Amino acid sequence: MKEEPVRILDGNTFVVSNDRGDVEFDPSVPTGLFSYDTRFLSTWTLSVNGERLESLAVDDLQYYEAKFFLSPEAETLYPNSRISIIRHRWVRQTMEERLTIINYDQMPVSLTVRVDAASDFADLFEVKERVTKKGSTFTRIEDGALILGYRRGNFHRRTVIRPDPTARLDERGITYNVTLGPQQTWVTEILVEPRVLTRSGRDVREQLEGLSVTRTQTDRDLDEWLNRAPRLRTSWQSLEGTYQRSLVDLAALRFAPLTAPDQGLPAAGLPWFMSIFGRDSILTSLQSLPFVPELAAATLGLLGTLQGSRLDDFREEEPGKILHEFRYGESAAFEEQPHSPYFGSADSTPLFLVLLDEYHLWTGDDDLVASLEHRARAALRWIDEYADLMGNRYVSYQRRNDQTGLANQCWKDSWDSISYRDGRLPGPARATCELQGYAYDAKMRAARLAREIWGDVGFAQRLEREATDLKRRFNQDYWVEDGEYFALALEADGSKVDALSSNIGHLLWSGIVDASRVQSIVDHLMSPRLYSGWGVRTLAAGEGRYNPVGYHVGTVWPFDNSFIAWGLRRYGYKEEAARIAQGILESAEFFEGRLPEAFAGYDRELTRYPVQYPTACSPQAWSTGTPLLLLRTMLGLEPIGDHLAVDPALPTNIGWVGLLDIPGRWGRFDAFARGRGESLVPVVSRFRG
Amino acid sequence: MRQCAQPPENQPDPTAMLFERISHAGRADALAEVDGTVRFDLNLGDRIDSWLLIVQRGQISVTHGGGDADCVVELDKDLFDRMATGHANAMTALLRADMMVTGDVKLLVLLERLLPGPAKAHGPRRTVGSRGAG
Repeated sequence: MKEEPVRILDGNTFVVSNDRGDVEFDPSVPTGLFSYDTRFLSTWTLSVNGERLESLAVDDLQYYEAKFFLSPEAETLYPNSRISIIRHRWVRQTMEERLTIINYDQMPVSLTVRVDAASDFADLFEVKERVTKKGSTFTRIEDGALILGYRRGNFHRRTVIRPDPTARLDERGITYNVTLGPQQTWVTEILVEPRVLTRSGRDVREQLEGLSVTRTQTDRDLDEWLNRAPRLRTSWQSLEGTYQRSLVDLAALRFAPLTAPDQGLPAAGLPWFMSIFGRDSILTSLQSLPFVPELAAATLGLLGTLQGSRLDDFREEEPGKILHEFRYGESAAFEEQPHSPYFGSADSTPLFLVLLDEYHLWTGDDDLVASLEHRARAALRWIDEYADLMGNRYVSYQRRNDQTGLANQCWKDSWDSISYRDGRLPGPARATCELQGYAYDAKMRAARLAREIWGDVGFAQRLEREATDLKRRFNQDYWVEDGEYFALALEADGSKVDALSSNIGHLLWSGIVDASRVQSIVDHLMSPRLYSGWGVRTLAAGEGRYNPVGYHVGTVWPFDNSFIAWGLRRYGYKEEAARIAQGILESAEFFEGRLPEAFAGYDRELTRYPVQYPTACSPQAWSTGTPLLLLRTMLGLEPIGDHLAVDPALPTNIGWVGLLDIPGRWGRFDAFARGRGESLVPVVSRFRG
Repeated sequence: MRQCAQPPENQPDPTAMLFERISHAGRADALAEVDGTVRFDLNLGDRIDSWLLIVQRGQISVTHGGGDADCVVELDKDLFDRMATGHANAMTALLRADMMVTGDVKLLVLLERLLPGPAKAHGPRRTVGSRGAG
């Protein structure tokens, strides 16, 4: 498939098709109707009189619906096509399709309209291959519906296809005989239900509270979502577009998991990562806190519920650990993959604590913080008891699921992301630097919660002592003397993995950097080796493994930069933070406001436009959250007690910005800022009821 | 309705032993914030063996027998025996539909904390004998 696939979705039910709306096997771009990590349609093709159709246009109206305007292929020579076909499709847990055919001819026409349907019931981890399934498939026609099914033991999936009664069903699809007079229109509707069945034959969703199969994210829901979020007014017109794009995409990324069906938390990315990911959901919730704080509440609640409680080597679970990834498909169910859930990430646990405190700072929601006290204490115990693999009181990781576990359990989770300057890879036990920053921040923030909410001053003092000690040790043990920056990681023998990387920016965000070392860190971040002109590279140019198009070894990640900008603000480097914001937000203009997961690390001078890293997922949650966090950093928004402080430092290309109705413990608040060359002042800010 | 009956036969019944242990402990800090009732209906082929767990802020009482519950879990007794000894996983049993849940599934997810982990788990690999960095 050469053209861009068309994707629509509702939660974790989604359809990926070509620009004719057809679904068929394609090794390069998997297509189909998917739900709960299973493909329910692998063939869904429309033909008229035995001929496939030609795409004239696609209108993807909303994230949950699309219209395909089609004509018979043979008529491409005749621009005044006599027959028009409109295929209107939407997803609301089920897939619905309305076919409309209009005869513009002076003569009547007789048409055979055919929809071919089939399903391979592939697991999401199998979609790129033609797989041999371990269970058995079946097809039957029952009560006017075509039923495609798959069984493996009690694991039972069905695709129920219901056309209107004029259709003729066979085991491979649906046929309509249509006769249309001049100017006549024919319309039919098909409902396709992906069903996850229990042993009793009912759909699992019917049996769970809070989730009904008719629950939808409708137009009204989207409107309400947009109305609740703050409004942005600015002299930089494209920034308004980027902001709107982010809000709509965040709405699309909301996902109600089976284990907490009444909540919507951000999934990691569309469409292949519409699932719970600890790290991605937490970081996206942090980015979007000033705008849509309900995402953070849902994330904290769900990750707390699913917190690890036992030792499990296959899932890499330990008591107190926050999960990495949860999947519902066949490979998870039969323990061929560990995602039930999988706990292979070393950062989601400290980040959970960071989010809990930041959420409280914004919302003042004492109840949630009080209700999660036990989860938070268990997370803190995990940091001390289970994360210290090397006996040196640093957080480290080493996988113990050697078959299907992850070698790198930090956000840079590809195999070659952690390396020495000369390109060597360290041994399997690794304590990457940003993990220590997160642990430091987690303890400092938990200390505040212990003192203010949990009423445990002794615990607060202990946490602060531990954090202070960690900071002191870290600034000695990780410092690369001859480069004047922090090592990317420590090995088990104490060796410093000495490549220069973007991870040092996360250290600023966490506050673990000694005052005496901040200036050199900032200088490195803004140096030509790390800063490309669009953003900070994951790995500095000149390092052994540097590759401007390597996934975690030279590309620029928008989300990474948003946290680096937050870190620069934390240490008072406003102008530098504004430069980062400007580069990333200018790059968004090349993608119609939708930042990709990553783009190439080429110098801006060289390519003049940001070269997108090719990935299957768009939008990606933490790229979607990036413009929101950058708005926060350029306005200098900080919750201080019951007030919102505003300390703007706008990029030089922005005349003025107003962000209206910022929600928080203060009610609603408006922040305004004007850029005046290099001296930047707030115009006026005001509270609203 | 019987209070925590002993297994009827001489060989140890892993399910009864697990519920004994839970009942004897009386409290689980892992469920400190949890309120709710869960009933396990264990299928023995010719009859259903029910266990009712009532959780109030971490205090747990166990009843061998039926009763209304916020969450009802149905599965074969054999499978629950294996869960009770760390030889089967509750979440994957749910995903395979070997176990069926009606009502508030979140309660089952929380109560899974009372089940033992895999019997052969080693836990994190600690790198011993390194010279350390601290």
